Amino acid sequence: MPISFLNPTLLLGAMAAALPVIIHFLSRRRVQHQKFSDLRFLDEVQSRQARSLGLRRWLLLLLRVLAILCVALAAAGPRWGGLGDGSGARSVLFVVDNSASMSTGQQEGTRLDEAVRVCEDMIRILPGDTSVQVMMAGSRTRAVFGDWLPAGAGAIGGLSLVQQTDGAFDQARVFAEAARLVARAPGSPVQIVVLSDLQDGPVLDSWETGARRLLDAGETNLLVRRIGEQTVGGGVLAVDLPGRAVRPGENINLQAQVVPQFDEQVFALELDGRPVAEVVTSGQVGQPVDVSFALTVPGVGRHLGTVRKDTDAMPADDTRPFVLEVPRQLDVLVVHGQDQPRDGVVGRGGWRYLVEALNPGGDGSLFHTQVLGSAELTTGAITAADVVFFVDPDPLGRRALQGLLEWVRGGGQAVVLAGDPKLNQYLTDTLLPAAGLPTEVGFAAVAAPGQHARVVDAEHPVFQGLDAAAVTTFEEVAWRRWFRLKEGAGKVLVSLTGDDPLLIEAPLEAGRFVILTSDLQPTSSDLAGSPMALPFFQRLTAWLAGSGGTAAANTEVGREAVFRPRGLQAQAVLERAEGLLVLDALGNPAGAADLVWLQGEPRLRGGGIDRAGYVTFLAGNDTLGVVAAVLPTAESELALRSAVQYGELLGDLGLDMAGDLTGTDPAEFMAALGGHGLSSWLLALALLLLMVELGVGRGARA
Amino acid sequence: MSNELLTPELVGRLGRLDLVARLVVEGFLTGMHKSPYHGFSAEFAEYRQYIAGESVANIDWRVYAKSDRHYLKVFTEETNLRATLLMDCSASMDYTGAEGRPTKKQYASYLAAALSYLLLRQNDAVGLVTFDEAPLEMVPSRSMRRQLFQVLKVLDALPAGTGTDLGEVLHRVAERVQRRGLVLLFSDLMDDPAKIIAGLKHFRHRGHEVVVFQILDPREIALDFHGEVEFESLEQPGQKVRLEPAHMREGYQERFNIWRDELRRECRRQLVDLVEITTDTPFEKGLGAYLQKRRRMY
Repeated sequence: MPISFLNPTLLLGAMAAALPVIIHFLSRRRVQHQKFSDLRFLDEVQSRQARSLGLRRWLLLLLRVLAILCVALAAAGPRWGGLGDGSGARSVLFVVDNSASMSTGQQEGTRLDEAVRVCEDMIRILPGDTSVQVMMAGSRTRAVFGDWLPAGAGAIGGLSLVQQTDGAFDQARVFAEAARLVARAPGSPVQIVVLSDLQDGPVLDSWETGARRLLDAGETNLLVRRIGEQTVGGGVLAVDLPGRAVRPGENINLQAQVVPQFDEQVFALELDGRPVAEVVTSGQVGQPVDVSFALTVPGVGRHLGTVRKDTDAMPADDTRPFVLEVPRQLDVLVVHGQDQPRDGVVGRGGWRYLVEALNPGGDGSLFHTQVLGSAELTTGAITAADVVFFVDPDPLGRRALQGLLEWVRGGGQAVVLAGDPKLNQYLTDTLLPAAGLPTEVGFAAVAAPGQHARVVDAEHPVFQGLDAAAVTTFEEVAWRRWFRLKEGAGKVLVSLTGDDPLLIEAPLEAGRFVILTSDLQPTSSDLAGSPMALPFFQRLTAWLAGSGGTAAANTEVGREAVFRPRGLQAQAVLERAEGLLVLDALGNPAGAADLVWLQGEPRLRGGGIDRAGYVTFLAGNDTLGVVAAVLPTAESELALRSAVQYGELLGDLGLDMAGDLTGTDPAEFMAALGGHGLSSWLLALALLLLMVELGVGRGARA
Repeated sequence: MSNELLTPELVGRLGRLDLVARLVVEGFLTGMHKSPYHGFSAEFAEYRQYIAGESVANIDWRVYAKSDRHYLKVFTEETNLRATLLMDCSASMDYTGAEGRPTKKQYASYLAAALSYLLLRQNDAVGLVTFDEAPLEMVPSRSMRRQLFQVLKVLDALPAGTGTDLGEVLHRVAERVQRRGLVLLFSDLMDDPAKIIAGLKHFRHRGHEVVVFQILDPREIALDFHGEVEFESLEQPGQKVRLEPAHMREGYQERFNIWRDELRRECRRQLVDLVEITTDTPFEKGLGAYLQKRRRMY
């Protein structure tokens, strides 16, 4: 059938076309009978006009009937062509949102249940020669079927592969994957049917790129059906771990961001299955609020924790897992330049002060230090450390520098104490550009009167929780020689009185460099003699070691889980490289873990994380490590877009939404597929007919 | 009773034709600035009290000097006017366009009764001929007082006529009315104008003065019907026309006016007074037309 309808039920409106006919015949029946004195004039007039009048009346009736039929047909959304007549598209791509928000409960199952049900109904009514593909859009955005399938039982059965995930609906990935599938589609245009709850959220730049790819892939028609209604709920949006290595018995505050569903809601912190703290929210219902759990750090080892609340309609964000690692020791490597007689007993740049500050009591400290001269530095030594300090280093060897940079990019943490002006050229030309700092940033040795430091960010983990007197003591340290960095060199944590940066944090991919623009020689500063030297360097090292993944190994669902085995764990990896396995949050095997070597250091990668919870890396029967897979924050958004709003958003991206299937019966879906809309033409025709009717009617009365 | 209240509808409810005649005439005459009796030779008959608004010409000032009251001298006119009333009783005269409004025949009978009363009061002779396709009944002209009752008796029981052949009827009646006089025709003139004029010319040829009261219902003129209407002829039962008057009104009125214009033109040429009256018009118009004619005659 060449013509199909978006809303065939509205075709019943065509029955209204009978109204003029009924009125016509009823009015004919209501003929008045009048006795009249003389019919001669009436006879004359009637014989002259009756015939044309009769014709006009029938013409008027016809025009009215046609006008009503046109309006009724237009309301039913007729389309010419499309799947129905075989001349239009024969490919339909269903995008089924199986992100975490689709787990929201409804009257009958979850939103995902409804989406799958609708998809199934739609596939069932498609002609058998239609090619169908289903794309999941959750933790992974990918096609369900290996290739396009004919519509029918096979495709319907394949829908069972669409499972709930705790990942996010990534619009950019949806566009990109849809573009890939459209390019391979057997027919054109491809009808893309989006079945999603259309969660509200920010529009990212990446969407535009994806949309452009989709536009370039081929002719498509976008149809949208919103699944589900907006609900009221709450959840745990984030758990912020200390961000530094912690010691057993240490009292810390663990921050979390939660959305209370009602006033005085209880959020509980559990560690290793035991409740250890709870907070009660006050006010700000439906809004994100920060809460803080007071916690005494448990013993050395891995601890599985959760922040949870009572379950609501969307249970996925009611519990947020985390892994807290409490390390036994942190390996610190101190690399220094060759000692010169003028350096005295403290060594080049005062590196011995540093070692003493990190390990004041000898063995048994949290920090296990190893000291190497620049010339002795090897890549293996770097990758074995949690944090590497460079104190006025001599130029590094090419391989050592290369290894250092790769290690930092992979998550390594390096600190440079550069107080020797002689090193200016090496740092400016080699080390700083390699660290990702702007090349125009230069060093300049400055001999200036003593200046004092100012802590720029007191909430930074290095200084957070410090007593005010301790910060003051740190700021009272006099600085006499330092390198002047230009602005924009990184995040300034501490600056000098004259606003020259003193401590700079410069991230490089997954790792970071921290640069102290002075060293520990007494000629440079009084820091070595300050009571704040020990806590400053220890906190700095703990923060860096913690940021490197020692303190916590968490990832978002949908992203790759990465585990960094250390020590004995690394040895087990090497011994059982064939038996490395990843268990997902439900305890099911999620595939083999990929072993990747980064500068001699093993990394385990496990993809396919679909659900929130603890992802376990196994070597045989031994648990190597656990990573917490958490719900993407965007999935906690309760507000939903309407299909119209989504259409406007698509329009802004250059994509036209061809139809809104929200609220329509799946049986009406066929009508929306392909073809060309006729409604506007029919409405224009109805208007024309009415204008002609007015003209004919006026002529008849005249 | 003020003559303004004597609408055709009200008069119709009075029922008694003699009463209608008297009320219409008295109401019409009372208060006129000029007495209809004045202006032609008359013999003194009696005195009557002066009514405000009447001409003071006939006040007997000697009586006033004696009694301090105003009295008018009333004269008995001497006249030889013979008036013949021709009453169309064809079926078309039974039409009325609204409930409560008199039919054309009723209206004509009221007007004829009033004129008879007026004529006889002036000692004129009055006769009556009723007709449809042919003359039906004839009351010869007399000026006796009881002649009014003869005329009213016939007018009160006008028969339900059939068709119209006005031209032929006028010829036949003209042959029977021997003495010259005044002919008052009450009809809707629903016939061929040429035939009608030919009949009227016959009267004029015999020296009669002719006044034609063309009585029409307002709805015949306006054709203000709505919706689809099936019209059935009163004169030819079974003859029907179905149409929507709203769509044909202009054409109808165009034809209707052509017909009336022809009648007016031909009557003017034959010196026949054509008085066009609709059945919602007060009777004064008819009476006034008669008096004007009477004044011109004497």
